[in-house]
Amino acid sequence: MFPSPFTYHRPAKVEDAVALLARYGDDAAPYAGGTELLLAMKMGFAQYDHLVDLKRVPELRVIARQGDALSVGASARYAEIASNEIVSGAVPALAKLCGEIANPRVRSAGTIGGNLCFAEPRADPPTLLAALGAELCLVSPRGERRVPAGGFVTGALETVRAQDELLLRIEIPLHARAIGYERIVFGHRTIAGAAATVTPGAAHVWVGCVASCPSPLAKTEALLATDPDASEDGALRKAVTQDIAALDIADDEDASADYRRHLAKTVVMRAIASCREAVA
Amino acid sequence: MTQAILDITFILNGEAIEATVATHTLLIDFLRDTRGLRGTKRSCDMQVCGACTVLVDGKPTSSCTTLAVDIDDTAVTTIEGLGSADALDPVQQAFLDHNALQCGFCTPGFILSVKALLQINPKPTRDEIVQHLNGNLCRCTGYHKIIEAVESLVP
Repeated sequence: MFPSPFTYHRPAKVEDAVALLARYGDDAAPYAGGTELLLAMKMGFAQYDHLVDLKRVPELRVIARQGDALSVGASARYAEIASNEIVSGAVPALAKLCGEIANPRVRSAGTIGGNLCFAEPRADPPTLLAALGAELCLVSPRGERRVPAGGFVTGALETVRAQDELLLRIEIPLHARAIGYERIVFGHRTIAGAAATVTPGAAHVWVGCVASCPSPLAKTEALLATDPDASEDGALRKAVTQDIAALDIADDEDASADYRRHLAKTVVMRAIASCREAVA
Repeated sequence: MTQAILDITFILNGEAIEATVATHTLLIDFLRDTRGLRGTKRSCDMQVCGACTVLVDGKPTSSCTTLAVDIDDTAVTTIEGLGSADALDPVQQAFLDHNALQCGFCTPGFILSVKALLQINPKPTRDEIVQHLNGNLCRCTGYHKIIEAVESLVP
């Protein structure tokens, strides 16, 4: 299988990349690791006349602390994030996840920004970043804007990113938040993932890889915010069950909807337990 | 830079190369068809099986899902760049000594993946070896012999 011919652009600066995306509109795609885009092009699911290669824009690969946040450039590769000492010190759950995604070849090429923008429903990072309260910084000819990670992915392969917008970086607040991220992998894909962070007065619990995009579990969050130590067997299990029942989960080639609800419940309980262990 | 073809320069198995490639050419086709390096195998074509693995600046890379233009200014190692018939690379020798191949189709990808592992982690545990090789599929050996071959390289 071969991608159809395209014109290749290799900008060196963010402003040049933005200008190219603006000029070619729907005919252009940002290109970084290619782990999703090239597969889609080879299989004929996607066709573009122009690819804008972001790999040689240094600004997009920077990983740094910026005040009270960890800033991860959109073109940072999974392997770079996994082995980065700033990330493993500040947000160890992100370093761990990026070190376990797919296989070493995907981790050497695939980027965190590509993962978010492609919005494959079985991707792990959107769920973790949503629970961490991360913000995504996008730029276009209209200027910069920030979008909460939890509101970025809106459906399968759908995000709020406009065609001419470029994801610059992900900013993760560094307020001391113990977080648990757990996932269940079937073959080489995650079939249920969950992130939980609980502090007195505030809880964030998200489940992903089960519906078309990550979802917050409202009843579970409300319960844990008022009772962070809620027993797993009582009200907590009931809240998780109700939240999962409300999600729009369909049968697919990996699992029936019922089985997936079961896995979702299991993985959410594991994420809460792992968050509690991290706090203890 | 705006091109449908592009001039690239890179190091291939130690040799400096200049080439002109169509921008939609995949690295695997450039290596196999233009350079005649048939040790790199195409199988799943979707970054799952590892048969097409080459090293780009030492990193394991799926040549089926990489553009030839992406290797501009890099150093690429294919299986042909390791050892020789008279003096095998230690990883190749270990696979031979431990009968870690049968049909051999997946072997170039496994060997290059192991080279990459030992480069960043010279003393991997058995679990780390298994975890690293989860992206290389072998349908003959059942993996035990491969893992034993890699373990034999750990001092």
